[in-house]
Amino acid sequence: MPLARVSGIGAVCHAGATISEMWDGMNTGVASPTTVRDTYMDAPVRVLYLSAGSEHERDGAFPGAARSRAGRVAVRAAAEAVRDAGAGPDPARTGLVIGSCMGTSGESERVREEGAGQAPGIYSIGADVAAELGLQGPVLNVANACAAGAYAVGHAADLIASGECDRVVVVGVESYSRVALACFNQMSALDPATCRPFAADRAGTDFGEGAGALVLDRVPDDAVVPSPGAGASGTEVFLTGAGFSCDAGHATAPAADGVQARRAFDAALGQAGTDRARIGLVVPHGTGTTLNDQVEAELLADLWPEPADAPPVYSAKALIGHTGGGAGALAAVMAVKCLREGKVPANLDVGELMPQMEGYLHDSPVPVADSAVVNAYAFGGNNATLVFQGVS
Amino acid sequence: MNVAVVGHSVCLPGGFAPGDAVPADGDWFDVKERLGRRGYRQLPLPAQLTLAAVRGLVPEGSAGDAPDPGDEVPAHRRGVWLGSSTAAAHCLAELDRRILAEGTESLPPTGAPYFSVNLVPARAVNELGATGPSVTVTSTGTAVLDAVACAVRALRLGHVDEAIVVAVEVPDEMRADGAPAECGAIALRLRAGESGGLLRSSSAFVAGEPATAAERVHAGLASQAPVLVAGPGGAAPGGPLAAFARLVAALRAGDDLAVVLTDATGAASGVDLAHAPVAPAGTAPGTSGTTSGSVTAPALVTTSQGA
Repeated sequence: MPLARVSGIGAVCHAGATISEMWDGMNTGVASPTTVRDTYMDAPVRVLYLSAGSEHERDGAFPGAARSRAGRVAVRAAAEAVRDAGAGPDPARTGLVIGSCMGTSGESERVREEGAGQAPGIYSIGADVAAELGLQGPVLNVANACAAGAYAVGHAADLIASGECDRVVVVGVESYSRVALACFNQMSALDPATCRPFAADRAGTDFGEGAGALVLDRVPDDAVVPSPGAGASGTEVFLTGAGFSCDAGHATAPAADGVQARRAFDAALGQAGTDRARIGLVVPHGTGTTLNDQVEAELLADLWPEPADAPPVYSAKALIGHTGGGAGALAAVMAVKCLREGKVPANLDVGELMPQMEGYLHDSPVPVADSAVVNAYAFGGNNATLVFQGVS
Repeated sequence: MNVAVVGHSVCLPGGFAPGDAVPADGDWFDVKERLGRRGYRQLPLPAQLTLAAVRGLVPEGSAGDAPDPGDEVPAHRRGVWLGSSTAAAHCLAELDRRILAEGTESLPPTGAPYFSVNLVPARAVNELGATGPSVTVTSTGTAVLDAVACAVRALRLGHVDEAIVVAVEVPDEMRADGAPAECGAIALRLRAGESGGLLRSSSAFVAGEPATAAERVHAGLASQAPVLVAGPGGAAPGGPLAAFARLVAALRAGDDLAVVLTDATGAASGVDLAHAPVAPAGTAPGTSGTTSGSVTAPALVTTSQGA
C-alpha cells in the first residue's frame, strides 16, 4: 500500500508563482538571478534567485495576513495545493508539516538592524498557514536545513500511517536570510556567477526563494494504487517510499563514501517495492557545491553505470537556485508534475559537465513513466530519498 | 508496539526542583567542567547543552565496565530527535549581531555553520554514532513535546529501534509571546518493544485559542492522569523545559502525568505518561488522534548536572 496519495501540489519559486507558471518556466528554461539589496550584506557573493512575483528580497512578495515573507509564500503555495486536492476531511484530522530552516529570520534581521519593531516568531509560518487554511490538526516545523522539505514529507506520511491524520499539508519554504547568505559566503560555498549543479567548473551553490506544497491523503481502501514496479505516468500520483539516514560525521561536508546517502536511497526504494530499473526520473539534490555533486554523481554512476541505462536526471537548482528547506518539497512537486504530464523538460545548460555526469543530464524533453525519485541532503549529514509513482 | 523510556538525563541548574521555573541565566553551565577542556567552547550554547544532556544518558563509570545501553542497538536503527523552540533564534541572533557590528567577514569559520539549527544536535549524533534519522523539530512553543511524539511515532512504525530525544531551550531575544526564557536540556532514551505502560501524544491547532487547543489535546490523550498545562491558557508556571522536567520527575517517581504545552498562536501538544498499562485511547471527536507507546517504571539512568 502506498504511503499516501498526492492529491494536490502548489508552488512558488523563481520559475513561477503557480504550478502552471512553474511548469512553463521549466519548459522555457530561463533563469535570471539577481543581486540582493540588503545594505548590511557586505559579503562578495550576493546572488539570489528571487521568488517569481517579487522585485527584491524584502518587498511584500504576496498580499496576505501572514506575518512574514516566507509565511505569505507558504500560504500561497499551500492554498494552491489544497485547491488542487479538492475537499478534504474534518479539519481536526488535517495536519500541517512545515519544512523550513531559516523560518522568518529575514523579519528578525530587519528588526535588529532598525532597532525597533517586533518580529514574528521564527517558526510562525506553520501557525500562519494553518490559520489561513483553517487546519486544526497537528502543526509541526521540521528544520533539517536543505533537506527539511523532504523530511517534512516523511513526517507527514508518518502522521497518516499512525492514524493521527487523514490529510496532511506539507510545505517546504525558505526566503531571503542575511545570516544564511553571509555564513555560506564565509564557508566559500557560493558560486559568484550562477547555480550550476554538476558543472565541471562549479564553484558553489546560490540560494533561491520559494515554497513547494503537497497535499497528502490517506489512501482509500478501494483506490487504484500502483503495484510494485507497475507505475505509469498519469493523473494519479502516490508517495510510495521515504528513506532517511545520517552520516554522523562531518558537520557540513557530506561523507565522501556516500554510504548513508545510498542507504536512504535503498530504504526508500525498498519501501516502495520497486528497484532502480523501474525509476523513470531522478530529481537529485545537485547543489553546485564541489563535494555534494561529487558524492551524488558517484551515487548515480554506481546505480546506473551506463548513462544509456540511467533514467532522466532533472537538475532543478540550475533553474530556481537552492531553496534550502524548500528544496526537497519543490523537487517533489516537480517530480509529481512530471509524472502527471508524462514528460520531463530539458535541463538548463550549465556548461561543461563534470566527467561523471556526462550523458546523464538530458538536453531536450524526454518522456517519464513509472516512478520518480527525489534526493535531498543537508548539513549534519542528513540524507533523504522520496519515491513517487504514477497511475494512469 | 510498546515504547519504553530506558534512560534519561537532566542538564539543568543544580538545586533545580520539579515545579520550579527553569532560569534563563546559563551561568551555572561550565562548559569545561561538563564537556572537557578542548574543542567545546566554540560550540553555541544549545549545542553544548545538548551534548551534555546526551552524555548524561551513559551511566557514570561505564567506560570499560557497563556498556553504553545504546550499544545494543545497531547504529542505523538509532535515531535522534531534537526539539527546541528557541535554539535557532538564539544562534541566528548571535551571528547577525556580529554581522551588524563588524561585517560579514567577522563571522568565525567554526561558528558560521550554526546558522543551520540542525547542527545543534550534530556533535551529539556523532558521539552516539546514530546513522538513523536525525531530526530537528522547531515548532513554536511545543517543539519539545512534538519531538517526543515524532520519536514515538518512528518507533511504533518500525523506522528505528531506539530514539534519543533531546529537549533544549535557550533565551530568545526576539520572542514576543511572553513565554519565559529558559536555559537547559533534558534527554530521553526510548526503545521499542519493551513492556510497560503507555505513552500517548496528541496535538491540535485552534487559531488564536490556545486554551481551546489544550482542551482538545487533553481530550485526544484521554488521560486518566493529573494534567499539567503550561503556556498561554495554562495554569502551570514556567515554560516548555520546566514542563518537560515535571514529566521526567513523574517518570522517576512512578507517577502518572499528562503534560500539555500551548503556544499563543493556538498550537497545543501533549504527552501522557502512564506507568500501568491502560487501554489505548480512541480518537476523541474533534481531535487529531493519538499515538500510543509504553513507558517503563523509573528509568535506568538518572543524571543531574549543574553546580
